[in-house]
Amino acid sequence: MSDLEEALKKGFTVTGEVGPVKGTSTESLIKKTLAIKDYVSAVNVTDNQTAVMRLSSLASCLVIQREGIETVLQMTCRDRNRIAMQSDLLGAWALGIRNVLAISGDHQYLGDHPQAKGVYDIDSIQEIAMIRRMNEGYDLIGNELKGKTDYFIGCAANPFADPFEFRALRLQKKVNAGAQFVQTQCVFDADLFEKWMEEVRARGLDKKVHILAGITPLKSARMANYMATNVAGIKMPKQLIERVEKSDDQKKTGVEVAKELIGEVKNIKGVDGIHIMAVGWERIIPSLFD
Amino acid sequence: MIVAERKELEEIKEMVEPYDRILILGCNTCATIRLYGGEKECEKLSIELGDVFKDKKISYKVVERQCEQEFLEDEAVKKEIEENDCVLSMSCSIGPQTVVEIYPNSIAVPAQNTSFIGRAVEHGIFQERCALCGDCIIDETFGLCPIARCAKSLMNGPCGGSHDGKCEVDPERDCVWQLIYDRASRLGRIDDLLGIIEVKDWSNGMHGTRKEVKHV
Ligand code: SF4
Ligand code: SF4
Repeated sequence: MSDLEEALKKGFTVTGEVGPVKGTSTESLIKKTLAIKDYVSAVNVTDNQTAVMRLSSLASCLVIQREGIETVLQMTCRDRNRIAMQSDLLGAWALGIRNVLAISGDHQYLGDHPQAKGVYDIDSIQEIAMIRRMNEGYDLIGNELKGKTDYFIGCAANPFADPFEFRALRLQKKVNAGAQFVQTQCVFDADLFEKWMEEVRARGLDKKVHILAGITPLKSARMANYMATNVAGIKMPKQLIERVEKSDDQKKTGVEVAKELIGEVKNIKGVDGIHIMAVGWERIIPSLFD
Repeated sequence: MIVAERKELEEIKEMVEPYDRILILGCNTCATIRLYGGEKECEKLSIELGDVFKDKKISYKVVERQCEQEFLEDEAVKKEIEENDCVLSMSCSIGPQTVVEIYPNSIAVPAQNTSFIGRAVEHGIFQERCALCGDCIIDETFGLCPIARCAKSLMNGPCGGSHDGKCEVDPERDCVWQLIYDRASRLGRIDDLLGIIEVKDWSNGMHGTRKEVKHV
């Protein structure tokens, strides 16, 4: 059992996220990891996030695990076909990675190589089912593996994207495919999140999958505005942006907001933890737990 | 129908530059209906090229269908192809390939970027409807194709970027999963969407080895 699974079985769990840089430098990766290490059960490593080409997620996971903390390997469907995905999943397991997060990935057109041919051979739900099969000892086609994986399988969910009514249904599909934990998109509107959780509970999913609510501390009003308008699938209440805008100390207010949101989601039935995406502001994470 | 988009004049100029006698060859089927390679467009391109290349002989002709051998084997067409040293095809990219297969000594270049198969949603506006995957699944998606119409070809529901019915990749473009959901909801069959569509067999389509279909 992975550390993350164990933590989730025990109680409220915190995970973090770091993004590799473009280049071979692992310095900032290690720095960010060390900043959050004592506060999280696992570190999720993004896979060419926002479709910008960077150091690979798998390599970054290994670098991070050397620091003595477990990682969650993100694997998007954008850049690899089913052969490469399975091959990398076998490799990652062989090298000590125990958690994997299956996601579609941001479209290549939105990144820094918009001319690239996207792969999308399989989708994220098919990826989850494929990993489950590998955990059972078989590849996608049914060939037996010499040495199987035993990944703790994660997925992403965006409670705030459209169509709203499809959102819990889609999570149900992911759970049926084999997802064991889910990280949500950043929550800025706890009421809307609770509305989604109601649907999730109505489908009995809170009993079947560990739910980690996404939390992103806002560093400034500029960041809030940027996220509200430029990041796909984010819903940010106007009052929240105004509150940060009006503040004399925007960073401080950002931390306050994040702490309040953590408090609110913690009280929502079915939420098993939080997933902190600090997007470059990792050193603030300790102050979220003061 | 097959939808294409004419290449920029600059690119066309480079392609035909080495030749003295250029035959612009239009097509009366998809290319005409789709407003990209019929008589009118051929005439327009011949004027544009004539302005740039004063000493080249530039003419145009339109055939019924460039994808069918019999129309290209027509005596009058044959004569023109043989009298010119470059065919600049205004049809979809099947045209120039058919020309060189029938006339092995000829040179044929494409004036179009062949884009997709689809339909006109309003006059002059065309949208893709099928990506020729060779393994049709639209019976499971209420008749709408997620392979061609979802930017990520997602088969099991919308990604997290679907917003107000539009796609994260292009706010002008409908998110097909919103459309599929709307249809399921209109028909009162939302629970049908819970079924998981299994990984696709691409071997019968674009990515496969099968490049011939027999109807005999
Ligand atoms: S599923 Fe395949 S064959 Fe059917 S419409 Fe879509 S791309 Fe075309
Ligand atoms: S927004 Fe809709 S159409 Fe666009 S990639 Fe996501 S699911 Fe596909």
